[in-house]
Amino acid sequence: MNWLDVLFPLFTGLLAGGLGAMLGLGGGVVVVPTMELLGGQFLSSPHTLQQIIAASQLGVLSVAVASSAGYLTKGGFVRFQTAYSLAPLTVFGGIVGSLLLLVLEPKLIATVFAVLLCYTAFELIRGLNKLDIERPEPSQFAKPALIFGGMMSGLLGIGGGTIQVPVLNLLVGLPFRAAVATSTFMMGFTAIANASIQIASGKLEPELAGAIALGILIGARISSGWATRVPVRTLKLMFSALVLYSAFDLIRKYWF
Amino acid sequence: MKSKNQQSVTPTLEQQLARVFGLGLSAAILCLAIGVVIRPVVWLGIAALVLVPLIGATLVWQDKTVQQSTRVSIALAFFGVLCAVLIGLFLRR
Repeated sequence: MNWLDVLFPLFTGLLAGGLGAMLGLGGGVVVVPTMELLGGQFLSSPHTLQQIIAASQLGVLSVAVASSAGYLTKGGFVRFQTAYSLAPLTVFGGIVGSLLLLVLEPKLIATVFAVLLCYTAFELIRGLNKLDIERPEPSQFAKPALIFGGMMSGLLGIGGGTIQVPVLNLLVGLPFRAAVATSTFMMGFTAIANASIQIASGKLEPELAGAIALGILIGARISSGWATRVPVRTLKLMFSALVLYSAFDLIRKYWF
Repeated sequence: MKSKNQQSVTPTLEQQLARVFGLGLSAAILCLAIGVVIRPVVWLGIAALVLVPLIGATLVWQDKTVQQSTRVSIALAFFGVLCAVLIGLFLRR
C-alpha cells in the first residue's frame, strides 16, 4: 500500500474539517480544489473530478456530523425549526445537482464552481459592516436561494455552506454564528441525499472517501471548539479569502 | 423514595441530539480509522455517518414541543433521501 494515498486525503480532510467547522462550510471548497490541483503530484493514481466530488460529498456529511456535535454541546447556536423547515429545499436541490454531476463536462462544473465562489466572497465582503441582528421575517428570495444552494452542493460536492451561510445570515436574518451552526446542521440531510446517490450508484470510492472523512471528522471536532471564540468579522474575512483563492486556482487549471 | 437519578431533570432536545451526534461521531471515527487498515470496516463508518442525522431527525419528530409544520418538513426531507437512494440504484443498473 502507498501510504501517501491514505495520508494525502487524510491531511486534506484535516484542513477541510478544521476550516469547514469554523466557517460553516462543508469542506468541499477545500477538498475538491486541493485533491484536484495537488492529487496528481502526491497520489499513485490521480482521481477524476467526479470521483473527488463523490468522496467530498461524504466529507461534507462528516463535517455536518462533527461540527453539529460541537455546536449542540455548547447549546443555543443551532435553530432547529429553521434548519428542519428549510432542509427539504436543499435536499431536493441536492438531488438535481447530483444528477447534473453525472452528465456535465468537468470544465463546465469547475467554471460554475469558481463563479459561485467569487459571488459568495463578494456577498460576504459586501455585508461585512452590516449589523448582526435578526430579521423578523425571512426574505422571499431565501427559499429559491436555498434550492440553488442544494443544487450546487450536489453538483460540486460542497456542503452548500458557501451559499447557505450568506442566505441564512442576510436573507433569513439569523446572526452570523447562528447561521454558521444552523447551516452546518442542515448540511447533514443534504449530504445524506447527495452521498446516497453516489453510494447507491457505485460511484463512491470507499478508500478515498474514508480517508478524507476521517481527516475531516478529527479536524472539524477540534476546530468547532475554537469557532465561537473567533470574532465574526475575522470569520467572514477568512471565509472570503479562502473561497476567492479556490476560485482563481480552479479557473487557472481549467482555462489556462 | 426517589433515587437521585429519578429526580434528575429530563435532558432537553438539544442535549439528546448532542449525545446522539457525539456517539455517532466517535463510532464513525473509530470505524474509519480501523478502515484504513481493514478496508471493509470503512463501510461501517460511512453507515454511522449516514445514520446520525436520520436518528437526530427522528428525535426531533418525536419531541412534543416541535411544531406540526416542522414534522412535515422532516417527512419531506426523509422522502428526499429515499428518492436519492432509488435514483442511485436506478443509475447503477
